[in-house]
Amino acid sequence: MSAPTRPTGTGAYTDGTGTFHPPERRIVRGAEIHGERRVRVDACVIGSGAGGAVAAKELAEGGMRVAILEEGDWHDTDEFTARPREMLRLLYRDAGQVATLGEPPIVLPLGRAVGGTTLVNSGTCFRTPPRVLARWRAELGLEALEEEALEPFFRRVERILNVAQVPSELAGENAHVVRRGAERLGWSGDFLYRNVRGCVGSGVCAFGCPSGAKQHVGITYVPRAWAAGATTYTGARAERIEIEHGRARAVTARTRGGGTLHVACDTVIVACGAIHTPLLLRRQGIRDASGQLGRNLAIHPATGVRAFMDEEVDMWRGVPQSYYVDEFAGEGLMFEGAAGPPDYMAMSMPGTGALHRARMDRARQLSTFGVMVADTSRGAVGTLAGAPRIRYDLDAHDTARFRRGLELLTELYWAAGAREVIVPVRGVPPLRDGDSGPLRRARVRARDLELMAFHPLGTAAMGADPARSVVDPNGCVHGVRGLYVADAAAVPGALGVNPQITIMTLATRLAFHLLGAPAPAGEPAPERLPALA
Amino acid sequence: MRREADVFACLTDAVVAPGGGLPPLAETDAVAFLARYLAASPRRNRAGFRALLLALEVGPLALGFGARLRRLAPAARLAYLQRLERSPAAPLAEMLEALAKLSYYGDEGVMAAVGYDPAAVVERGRRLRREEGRW
Repeated sequence: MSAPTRPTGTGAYTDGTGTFHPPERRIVRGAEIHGERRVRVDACVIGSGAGGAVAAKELAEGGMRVAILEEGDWHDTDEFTARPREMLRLLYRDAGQVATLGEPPIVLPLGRAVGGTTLVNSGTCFRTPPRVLARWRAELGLEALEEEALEPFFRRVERILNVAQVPSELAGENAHVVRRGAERLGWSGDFLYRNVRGCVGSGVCAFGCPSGAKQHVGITYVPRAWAAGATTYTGARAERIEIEHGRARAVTARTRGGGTLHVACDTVIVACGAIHTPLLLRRQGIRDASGQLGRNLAIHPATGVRAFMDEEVDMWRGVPQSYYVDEFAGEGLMFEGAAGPPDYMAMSMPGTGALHRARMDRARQLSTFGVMVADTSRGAVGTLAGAPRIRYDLDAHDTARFRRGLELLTELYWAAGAREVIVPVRGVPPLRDGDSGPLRRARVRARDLELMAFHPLGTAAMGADPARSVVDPNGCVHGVRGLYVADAAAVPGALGVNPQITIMTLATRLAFHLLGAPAPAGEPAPERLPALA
Repeated sequence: MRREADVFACLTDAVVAPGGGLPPLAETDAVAFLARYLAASPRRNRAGFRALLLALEVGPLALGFGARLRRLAPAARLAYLQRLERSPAAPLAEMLEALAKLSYYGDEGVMAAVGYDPAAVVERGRRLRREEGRW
């Protein structure tokens, strides 16, 4: 008998009913733990983002006693004000100031809350591209990561997140401008698939969804973990993983109340993200034969092209990231929407004084679209005076791809009818009247690019060979029993697409492995999903 | 902090150049936001921002503009900032400018003038959550 299908069309996207609520919110605030508290569980999960929340839910539903340690707070949707300026302070690590050192410096915004970065991402969902899985199998010995073997895990994640396609009427005018350009050029593109339930196009996905529509893991996986008995400790920063005779035995966290939380367990799952996971592991003195712990950092560097149109675009209306152009995905170039309210737009709008104001006077006619590179550059995470230090230099190959991506996106905007295009390259003047000449003639160096990045990956990379990887094909740290990595750090390299589904799928697979359970059966097949060009 | 706030006000005024339908800087909470933002920043970044603002203030003296930032005429301020944008200090200058732009355009009155109504977005979300039992 074939599995049932799951709708992924407009009805699935816009229906806001059917939210799961647990019998109780099992949150213990670390601010209220002043002394020492000791608990005993089967599994301690450090981090409640895309990896940790998923692993915690699956393990708890599988019968394990689970504790989730989260450095940030739980935020009720009532706290989300649709004001990016204020939400940066509330929801982002270091108020959104995490950045790489190197050429060029790159801002790397990360969430810090129950839900992790899924609380503040754009909600875009892509499965791991088959060509990437093939490369991992060939180069890293990840033989088990076959598309067919992962299929039930992908389906399970997509069902819980309610992954569905953005309908045209909610996509926002920004998407329609780009779609028009892509269609005139004959380039492949489509409306994105996103994890939402009842989206109304509030336009502030990256700043806390005020309608509770975005199905981040804090309101999907974490509540299901609670319902299965797991407890989340917020304001609890894991400091020490006790390892005895080569096996993880406990985690000690410092609480915001100045106390300590000692969690005895047989299984420790580290899911602090690709920046903080390697730092936590390093602090434990783990012998890393590969020398790759904290290295191999990929970030999917990205930037935005701005275009002034004749029509009103009003980028704050509709889903900010709702359309993609994948015509050049084979070259490692992905174009995706990048929109938001006026303060978000103003912050990154080039120019000072009257020039900046003149551009903001035309804010309603402004369209912005992003280019993201599947980077070959690699960085490293370390510490400087006790704080994380992220070193990353854009290599010549990626710099050349940015140049090509910017030229292509400019061409798309001309095809869409743009009057003026602004590219984020220092020294290149605004382009007008369909003339991309100043960009084509410019010498573009890494230092000339104004970049951001949203997807740190690979700093505790998965692989079969302990001499070349940090964790084994299931996510277990080589040489340490009971210690696992279930986040972006384990993803061995750039994907070329948004990574949340990959991270969640690998975390689900790890949980089933730990439970000794077969892959989930009967998960409904999605009616339709994107197939990358 | 008073001095840094004054420098930030001067910077913001130069960068966003209020006018037209947009309110003057003094009628916004842009400068007050700086304190909230710094309070949410890691200690090292807070110190870095303060140092940068003070460097921004005295930078014109080193670059031959003849006075500190706050004592420069508006046109000279702009010339100074544009020179910084062409210098090796461009990433740092642009970071401060981005903060100034965010601070000003995140003000309620400025958002309204541009045509964005966050209160309506929040209210619609609240109603949907109430009606449909969402989080």
